[in-house]
Amino acid sequence: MKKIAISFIIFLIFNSYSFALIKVDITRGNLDPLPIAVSPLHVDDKSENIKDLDVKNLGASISSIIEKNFKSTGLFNPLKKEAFVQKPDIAHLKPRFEDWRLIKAQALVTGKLSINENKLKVEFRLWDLTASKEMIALSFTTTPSNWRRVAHIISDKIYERLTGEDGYFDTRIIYVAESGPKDQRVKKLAIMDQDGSRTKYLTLGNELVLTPRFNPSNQMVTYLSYFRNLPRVYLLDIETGKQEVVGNFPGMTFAPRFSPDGKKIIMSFAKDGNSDIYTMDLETRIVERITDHSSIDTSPSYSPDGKYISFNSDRSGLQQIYVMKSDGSNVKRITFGNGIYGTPVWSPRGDLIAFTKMRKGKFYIGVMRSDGSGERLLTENFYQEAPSWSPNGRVLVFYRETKSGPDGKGFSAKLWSIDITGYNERKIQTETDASDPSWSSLLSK
Amino acid sequence: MIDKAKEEKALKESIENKKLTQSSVKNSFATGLTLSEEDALRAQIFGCWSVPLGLPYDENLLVKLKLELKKDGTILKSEIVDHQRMNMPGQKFYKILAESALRAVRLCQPLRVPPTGYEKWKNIQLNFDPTEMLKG
Repeated sequence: MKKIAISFIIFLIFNSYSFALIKVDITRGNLDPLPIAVSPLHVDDKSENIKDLDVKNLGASISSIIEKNFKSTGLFNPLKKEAFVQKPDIAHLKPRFEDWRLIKAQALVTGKLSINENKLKVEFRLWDLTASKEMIALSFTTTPSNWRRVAHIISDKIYERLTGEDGYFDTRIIYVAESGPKDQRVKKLAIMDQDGSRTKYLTLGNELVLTPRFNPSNQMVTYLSYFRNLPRVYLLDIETGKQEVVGNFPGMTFAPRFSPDGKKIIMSFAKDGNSDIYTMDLETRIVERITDHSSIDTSPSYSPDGKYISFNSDRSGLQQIYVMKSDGSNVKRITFGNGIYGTPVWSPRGDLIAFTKMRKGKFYIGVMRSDGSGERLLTENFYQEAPSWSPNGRVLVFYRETKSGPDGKGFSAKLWSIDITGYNERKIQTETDASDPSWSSLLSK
Repeated sequence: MIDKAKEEKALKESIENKKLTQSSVKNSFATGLTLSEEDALRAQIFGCWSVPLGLPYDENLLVKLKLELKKDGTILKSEIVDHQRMNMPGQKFYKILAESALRAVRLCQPLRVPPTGYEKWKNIQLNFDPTEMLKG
């Protein structure tokens, strides 16, 4: 009996080994951008003609914007259209997956559009080519003049489906457009789509404008302008063009910025010769002092939940970044590295703070966790500052000044973007020199 | 005079070597693949897996993918072990990772499997863990 029991146990042990599931850990992969084919959208032959719109080529124009958006992320590699073998209308109905796999595409975007009764209808599908299945299909109807926005919205939907993050393409950037020599600089408020298209100038340039900042949840902007040499804080509704003065503040006033709920603005100004941080309730116009210290406290920025404020201060000697509760209590220094730190901006995701660092004559844009740990310097240059987050917290836009002209005595200011991995640094095309960018929230949310 | 340091070093090396041998035997015995076979398979999948770079590095995003293979290494059946999690609210990133894992094995097939011992490796589980990649 004992023998049988032992044999049975041995059998069980060996049997379990023979059926043991092989497990292999995969901890590495490739970081190459995902190859994606964006087929030109098919244009319905019966589409109406629209004045000032090339309807025949509208499908190609929309797909071209989607491609540019994807390319700019560094996460996708849009494949060249010359390699495409299937016609757009057929591909949209039922792609021949093997044909698209042949050109090494892993995802495919197809679509079609029509214009009837002055309405543009666009539908698109995203296909997973390795699984031979549809991942998402949506359609939009709008006025034909909105075709660029449709391209951005489609880009956002695809980006979200493939990365799990919200997109940031249907957004705008407000900035200070600059022209003229450095000692007679004309500065206008300007706004454009995030890809640099459709620039509009919002002020005439008669007065100096500084530090425009979007409300994180809508299309309101606050900015600073000097009127008869006195700083004024303005509110501007981008949709209606309506503008109002929030208040005149004494002395040097800096960088007004909205609270996450858009009900307050936070800024610094000098009272009795000392800069501290204040908030203003936009409804009651009550001003509240947040810091009260003999040092210079500037550049406040709320955490996305509104519970904390980051700011820079020279209270420890050199300018460093601090975090405090939103009522001004519990002030903690979070930067201890070599150099001077400034312009902290809290990520919309809440996990990181972007900043500008100055050290040994160089300027760096970097990110760190909100407790100051994990500092990463993303980009270095002669002069650059003012980072602003994309609404999904993945990309930063900032401005950089470079020497220009044959003798290097001139200078040029341009907008640049970089993602939080430190890769994919790109210049954003603007009609003029540009500084102080601020990225809007998603227009379609 | 005995060089104690050398002796200790030799002892340490001997222990390390034994550990290595034991682990190699254990691996082969327990998984049905030798270390070199496992390495070859892993290297093949590394090349096919496009890690979704937008994923957060501080979330538990391990994806376990069970495969049933044919003798030639092509995939007969694939199944995400925790497939219910893919459609749960707030699990977008898990879904994206699971889809990328599925894409990787489909792109890679036929998988590099040994010519013999089919019964041992016809069922295999791949654990996709992007944490190290995402931390950078």
